Amino acid sequence: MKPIPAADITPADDAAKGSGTGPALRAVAVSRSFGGVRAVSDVSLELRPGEVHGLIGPNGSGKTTFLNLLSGYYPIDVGRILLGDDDLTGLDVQSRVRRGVSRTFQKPRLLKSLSVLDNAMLGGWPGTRAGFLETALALPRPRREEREIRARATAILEAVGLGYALRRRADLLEHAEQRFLEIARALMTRPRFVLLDEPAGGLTEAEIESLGRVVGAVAAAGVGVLLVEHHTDFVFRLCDRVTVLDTGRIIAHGRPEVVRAHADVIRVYLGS
Amino acid sequence: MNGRTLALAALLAFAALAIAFPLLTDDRYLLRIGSMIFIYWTLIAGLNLLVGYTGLLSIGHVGLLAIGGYCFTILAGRYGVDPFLALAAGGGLSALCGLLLGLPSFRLPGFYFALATIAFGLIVAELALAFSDVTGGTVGLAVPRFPDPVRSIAGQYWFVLAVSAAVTWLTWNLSRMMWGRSLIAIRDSDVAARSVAVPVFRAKLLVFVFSGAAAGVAGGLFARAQSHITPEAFNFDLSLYFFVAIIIGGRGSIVGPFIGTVLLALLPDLFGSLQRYTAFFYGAALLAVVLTMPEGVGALIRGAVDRFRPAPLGHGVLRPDPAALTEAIKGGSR
Amino acid sequence: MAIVLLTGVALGSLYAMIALVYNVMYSTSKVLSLGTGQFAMVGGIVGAWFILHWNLPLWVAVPGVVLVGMAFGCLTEFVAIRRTLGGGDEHLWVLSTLALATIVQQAMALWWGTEPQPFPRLVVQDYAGLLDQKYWIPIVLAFIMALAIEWFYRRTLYGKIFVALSDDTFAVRARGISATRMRLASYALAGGLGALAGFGAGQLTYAYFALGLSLTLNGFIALAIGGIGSNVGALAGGLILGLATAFTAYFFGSEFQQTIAIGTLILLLVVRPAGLFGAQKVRQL
Repeated sequence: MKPIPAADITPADDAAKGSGTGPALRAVAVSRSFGGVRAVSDVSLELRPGEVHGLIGPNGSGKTTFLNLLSGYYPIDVGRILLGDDDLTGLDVQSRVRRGVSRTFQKPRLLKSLSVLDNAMLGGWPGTRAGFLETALALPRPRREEREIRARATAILEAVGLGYALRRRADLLEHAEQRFLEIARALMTRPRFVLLDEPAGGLTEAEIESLGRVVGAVAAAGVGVLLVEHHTDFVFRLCDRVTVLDTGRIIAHGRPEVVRAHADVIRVYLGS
Repeated sequence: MNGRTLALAALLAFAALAIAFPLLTDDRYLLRIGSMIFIYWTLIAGLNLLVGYTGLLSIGHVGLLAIGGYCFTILAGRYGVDPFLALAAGGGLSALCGLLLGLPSFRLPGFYFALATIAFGLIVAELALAFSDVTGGTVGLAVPRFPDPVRSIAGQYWFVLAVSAAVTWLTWNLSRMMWGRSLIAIRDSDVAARSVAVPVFRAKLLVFVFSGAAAGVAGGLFARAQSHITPEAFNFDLSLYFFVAIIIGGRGSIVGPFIGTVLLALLPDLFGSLQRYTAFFYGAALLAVVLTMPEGVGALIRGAVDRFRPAPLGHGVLRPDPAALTEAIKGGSR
Repeated sequence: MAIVLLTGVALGSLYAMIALVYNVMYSTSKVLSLGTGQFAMVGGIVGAWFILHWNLPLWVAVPGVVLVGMAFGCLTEFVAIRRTLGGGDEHLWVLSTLALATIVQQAMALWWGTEPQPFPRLVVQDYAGLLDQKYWIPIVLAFIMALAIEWFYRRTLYGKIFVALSDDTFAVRARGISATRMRLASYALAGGLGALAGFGAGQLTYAYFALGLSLTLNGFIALAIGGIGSNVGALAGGLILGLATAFTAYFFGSEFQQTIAIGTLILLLVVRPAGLFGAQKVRQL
């Protein structure tokens, strides 16, 4: 089984919808080991603005590790992360968020004691300019930012389908609601790219359908979406391009219909 | 009359009472208690931002109180600096020390950091005794008075009230705007905080500086209220009191810790001759709260209030509006 | 000078024993109790009370002290640890152990009084200078304790279970062993050892209610210098701290004890963050 290097992909495989403008987010030959075990090995991936890019693979294939590398939660051993001309490789999580790379988590990390609206408003932080002292003195700028962020968060929450729960405490939310809230929060950070970590996990069919529409709307706004998922049908339905990992390496890449029929992919998922 | 109007009315009533207090009573003892409560609250309001909102277990804040107190006393007493200036200087010095105290929080997780702050409190007490030519050692220092109109008992009370109100206003602003959310994020989910680009370490340091300044100013006022200070006045029991008041009152609230402050301050006076039981009660109260209602009294009140409000708890079906979503995202784009 | 050295080693031995006690509790619960020093304080005071007030002979007083310590250990586990572990808030045990430590300390102050009381002689001996028992009892006791703990961990079933618990709680539970009961046992052991340590060092420290907090702090410094989880480290850390304290007290006066102790810790942590013998662990998400 030979992995397909990203450079060998023909343009036909790679014609992505990519409705957005601007540079792509690229991982170039990225590797990461944990105590001698190669979790991610020589993975290259390109995420274009406005595309929905699926990342699938069996358990232990390194999908979430790769997402953590891309978003900055783990340092990279080998390789680089590029956003246009910007080299993000050495940057911490916060710096990447400020450059437009946001993510959600497999287990939603919400602030349980705050309301849904407050949780979403937290995502407005990267856009704020008001300093500590300014805020303490309740000067005009922090008050204006507070109003604007509240309005924007309300709009996004309502559009995502959580309008009925704005004042509700986050710990009273159902699983699907928590996931959508986290997506809303990520969208509040004004991202160019959103990395979703298994968002369909634990959702009903109807909720997955809603999730699909949300992802489509995000891409339509010009944001690139990396969809790390277990739910392969969902990925093949939704994505413009799909990358498949197995034991840390890429084994297939391209349009969903091509990847789906790929011999190695079938073997890895169904056994030989 | 909905909840918010009720809360506002209660606040105004309380404010009116607090302001009118010296006019309602001539009892010096009562006025003194009132002053002490608001002096403690000045420190605790600042500490609340650190412990209650940012979640940093700082148990040695009495050290910052001492630094502010001695700075004020030495500047105003020995060097004749204008007392108001000296007060500000005490706040500034404590703010700087707060910064130093906060630096280890970068590397030290919860327990280690708590212990480090306890150590800080003990070290300040130790140094205050050691450098006795500066601090007067066990003999202590006499604390100069403020000029009129703050000179009288009532004047001091109003001045303290004003200062504590100012600190409360500052923390209230911080708590209800974006900074408040970011601090709570640091407290409850470091990962979530980073995921929205909150500068975690810098935020912690800023809160340390702020709480240090509040503690320093409180220290000067505390010194004046004692009129004579020795290192023993700044003992660990006080630190425990500050900390327990916040935990009992509940994290993430301002009213809760204030109630905690008042309750715990009145405890020794309620017991009068049983003063030696106070520290015991602080410990017992802390244990009781931690075991039965870790969210504090504030949450208990909120829970009771919520029960009277018919909250619609239906779970709607998640029905996103893709077009609206795309618009909303584009509307805020770079 | 030799007396200074000896005092340092003796004091360091006490700190080392506290560090050992920290390790025993940490091994099964991953908790560093803020009440660790109180075990020693209780042991010292209760021991003094047994001997001075009840005139109990040593062979009755010592087991008595150990039993009281074990009771306090159980109390700690039951009250401060059991309900606070495994919740969402991982800092709850810091608060509960702090609360319990305060309660114990204040209760002792109310009962015993706030003045340090001289501790009785344990062995018939006139003041013997360098050979005085007040130095040698803690020193010898510390070594015996460390050896006994190591033997316990390596040679007895319970000890091996404790070690296993610190490595992999699930595996231990899967064998049908109650992790809770083991934790209780380890806390009882810790309490007993802590009380014994306080009793042994009583002539050095006097029976004093406020000892607890100072020992909690210094014992932890010894632990951190040596590396958490290491018993050899506990001895080394205690020794270093004790000597550093004694020497600076000799040259600069005893007014800077806490400051020097913290300074020593910071110095060592800068050079070697995991402590001298601590495990270098990689922190992952």
